[in-house]
Formats: sequence, structure tokens, C-alpha cells
Amino acid sequence: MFFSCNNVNYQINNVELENIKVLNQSVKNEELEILIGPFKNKIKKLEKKIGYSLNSLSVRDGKLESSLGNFIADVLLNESDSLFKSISSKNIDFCLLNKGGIRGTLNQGNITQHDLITIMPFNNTSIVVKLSGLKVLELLQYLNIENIAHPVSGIKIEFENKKIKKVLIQNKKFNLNRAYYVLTSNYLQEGGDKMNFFKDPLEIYSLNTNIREELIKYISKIKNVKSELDNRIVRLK
Amino acid sequence: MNRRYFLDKITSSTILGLTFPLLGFEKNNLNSKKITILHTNDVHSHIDPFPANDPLNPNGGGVIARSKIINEIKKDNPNTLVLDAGDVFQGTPYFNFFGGEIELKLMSKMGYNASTLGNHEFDNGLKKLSESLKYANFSFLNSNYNLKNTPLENKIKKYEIYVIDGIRIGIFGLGIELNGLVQKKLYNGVRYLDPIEITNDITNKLKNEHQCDIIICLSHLGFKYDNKKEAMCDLILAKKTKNIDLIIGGHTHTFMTKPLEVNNLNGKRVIINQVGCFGINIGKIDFYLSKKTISKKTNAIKV
Repeated sequence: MFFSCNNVNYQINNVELENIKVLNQSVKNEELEILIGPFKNKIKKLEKKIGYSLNSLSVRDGKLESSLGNFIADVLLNESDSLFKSISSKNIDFCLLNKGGIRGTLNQGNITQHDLITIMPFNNTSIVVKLSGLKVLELLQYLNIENIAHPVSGIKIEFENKKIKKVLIQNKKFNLNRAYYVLTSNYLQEGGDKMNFFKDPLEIYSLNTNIREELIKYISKIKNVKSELDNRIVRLK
Repeated sequence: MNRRYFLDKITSSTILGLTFPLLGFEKNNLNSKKITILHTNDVHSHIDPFPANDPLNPNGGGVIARSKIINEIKKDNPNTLVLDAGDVFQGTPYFNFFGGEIELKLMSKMGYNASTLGNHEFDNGLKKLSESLKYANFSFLNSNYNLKNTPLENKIKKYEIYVIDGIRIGIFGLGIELNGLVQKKLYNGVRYLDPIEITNDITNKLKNEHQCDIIICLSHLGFKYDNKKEAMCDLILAKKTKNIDLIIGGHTHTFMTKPLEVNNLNGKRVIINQVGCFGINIGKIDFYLSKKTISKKTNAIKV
């Protein structure tokens, strides 16, 4: 059977585009509010204050580091080191997380659990891997190419002209011939963000601690939080 | 061709006019029709607006303000489609506690017509994603994930055709390679297919079989990757395919200051737009169309 296409066809003559800013103007919308209400009430308990941030911490305030990334990586490294030592009798050398794992800003003022879930929504856990010097070099090359503020702690890096110029791990020069204990998340260890150097490490230790819960525990304990940029990763030219 | 760019910053009042080649036809105002496309991407469970003291987006976003804008625009032009380019999920406790139920119920109430699967839609695994889809009264479109024998089989449409005021609008969805982005166990069985091949196949079907007048791609591939120039993205997609009129992008959270015009494989223009993230902006695109005045050569299609 055959039929002919006598559909009317239209042609696009002109296109206009406008990107509209959405701003809260305290308008009412009963229908949506009724729908949101019960859900909102159930998460209200997360609004309880657990600490205070002395400055606003962002994941976007530096080029190759960020105040929020530095804070999270520092806390995680410090808090995990004693736990790791109790398992392995070794120290963790440095920590690498991913920028994408941190989603928001920690505003100056009260900190709540709600803030922490917004900043770190993923239920990732801490993992320590033993990497050969060559794998650590791969890690450094990855950071060189990525060129974004992936959070680190325990390591200082200088890049210059797209090359790795200087690397200090625990304030000692990076040694290609030794292995390092690196703290990261289960997500990255499994190849997340294409950090393939974490796959098949020499040794692997699951700390079984939820990264966000570690942070909540730390902030509840320390109360006042402050963090700054300190040039831990820089690109000179 | 007179091309005017007025838009350097995303503001509430600026309009960008893109004048398309008229192909020798006179624009007939009497027969001119207007289709409005509203779109969001990477809303990431942001239901409440940002607080007034937020340093980046004070009072930004929120479903109630978004809904007001959608309703006003629909009142102005009922011939409007509301679309989303994925990553509806993950980013606030609403998702951690309720797994996407509230996000999808709200989008349904706000009148969304379609969305596509972002990588974060997989964050609770395939089974839970599949279960949550019952809260959406709109379609999730994806054509480059092979979902055979997964919980999503038959729940995701490859494309959909909307006929509005006689205009046929074909919409399809593209998702990003999940390997290296999502933990394997969360998307087990989903096979990623090459977006270019799929697009040429689907748009050919939409254009020639279904006679679509406008073809829109909801893409979660990302706008572009400066450090990985070969990585698949909207820019490459636009240049290496045919028949797409508009790519609504996502994933890279790109706040585009102006939409990009790219020439496709046939030298025809494709518009790419993306409106950042967290529901802080809504993109609005008005298509003005008129009847084609030449008699179309009769296509005999064997059925």
C-alpha cells in the first residue's frame, strides 16, 4: 500500500531566546506548598545547629584549590589517620578527593546537618590505597591535565608550563621509587572521575567511615570552623 | 544576514534575536505561528530557594518562583513545552531522604512535558530509579542507552512527538557515558551507544518519517570539555549530525551568557543552550514558523 505525504510543513523563520533568572519573591502557591509541606517537615530536624563557620567556604574560590575543598580534605586526613594507624600501624601520606563530590558553599554562620548533606550529598566512604611511585606520578599527571580544584591534603604541588615542577608529600620531596598511602573515597577508588590510578593498588584498606558523617562529627566536636586558601596546588605559568 | 546579539549577561529582560535564513520565502505574519520552549537542567533536587545570605545566588531558584514564571509564560503563549535536560536528582536532603519522589511530583505539577536521564538519576541504582518514575506524569527520553533486560526497559522512550497548533515537534534524549562517572553496580546492564550514530538515525526518522518541523535534543552530554577535546559533547554533536534545530544541554552546569549557533553537517544552524544549574534560571526559546509555500514533492512511503 502506498500513500502520499500531504502533511503541511512549517519552516522556522526566526528564533528568540531569553534566559530568565528565577528569584524567590515570597509568592504563594498553595498547591505546591501543600505537596512540599510533609516532606519539608520530615527533614526539619536537620536544621539543628552543629557548629559555626567563621568565614564562607566555597568550592570555587581558587584556581587549583578551594577553601571548602581544603577544609574537607584536611579534616578527613586528620580524622582518618589515627584510625588507619590502628589498622595498619602506618600513616596516611596524603588525601585526594574530587571537586565534583563537593556541591555547594558553606556560608558564614551556623552550620547544620542540612548544609552538610547539600555540600556532600553522596554516601561515599573513606578508603586508603597503597600506590607505587609510578601510580602517584600518574595521579600528578591527571591533576596537571584536569587543571581544576580537586581537594587535596598532605601534598603541595607546583605546575609550570604544563609540567609538574615540584611536589612535596608530607613536606618531603616526592620519591618515584617509594610507595605512598593515599586516602580517597570509594567512588574514586572504583574509577570515578576516571581516576584510574586508584584501580588495582598494592594494598587497599576500607575505613568504612561515611565521609559526610566524619565531617559532621568533627564540626560538632570543634564547633568553630575556619579555612583558607594556602597555595597547596599552584600553576606558576 | 542580519544577526543581532543583545545578550551578554543572563538577565531577566534581555532578548537574543537569531534571524534564520529565509530560504527565499517571505515571512507571512498572518500565518506565523509561535512555539515557546521553556527549559531547565541540573536542578539537583533544589526545591527551596537559596537563602538570602547565599554569596552566589541569594534568593535564587525555588520551585514556587519557577512555577510562577512557567505559568505566566504559558498564559501568554499556551503553545509552550516545558523541558529538562537531566540531573533532576541529588543535591539536597530531599533526595537523600525521599529518593526523587518530591522532585518528580513537583515537575509533574509544574507541567513539565519531558526530561532526559542525567548521570545522577542513577545514584540510587536502576531498580529505585525505575520505581521512582511512577511519580512523573511526563516522559523521560533517552535514545543512546540500551536498556534491554534492565529495570528501565520499556519505561524510557527513545523520542516523543508533540503536535502543537499543527506544528510537529520531535524531541529525543541523549545521555553521557556512565563508565567512570557512576559506580558500575548502579547502572549494571545499561549499554552506552554512540550519540552521533543514534542521532543521525533518530533525526532522520523524525524529519522524514514523522515530518517534524522542529527537532530538539535533550542532552546530558555536557556543553564542551576544554581539557578533553575529543570527549563527546554538545558542540561535537551539533557539528557532526543533521536535522537538530535545538540542543538543550546539561551536565557541565554551564551558565551560557549567550546561546551558541553552530553549523551542522549540512551547514544548517543548530542552537545550543544551557542554563547553569539548581533551577536558578529558566531558558526560554521562541520559534516563529510559517507554512512552507512550495508544494512538497510527494514521497511515496511503502507501508
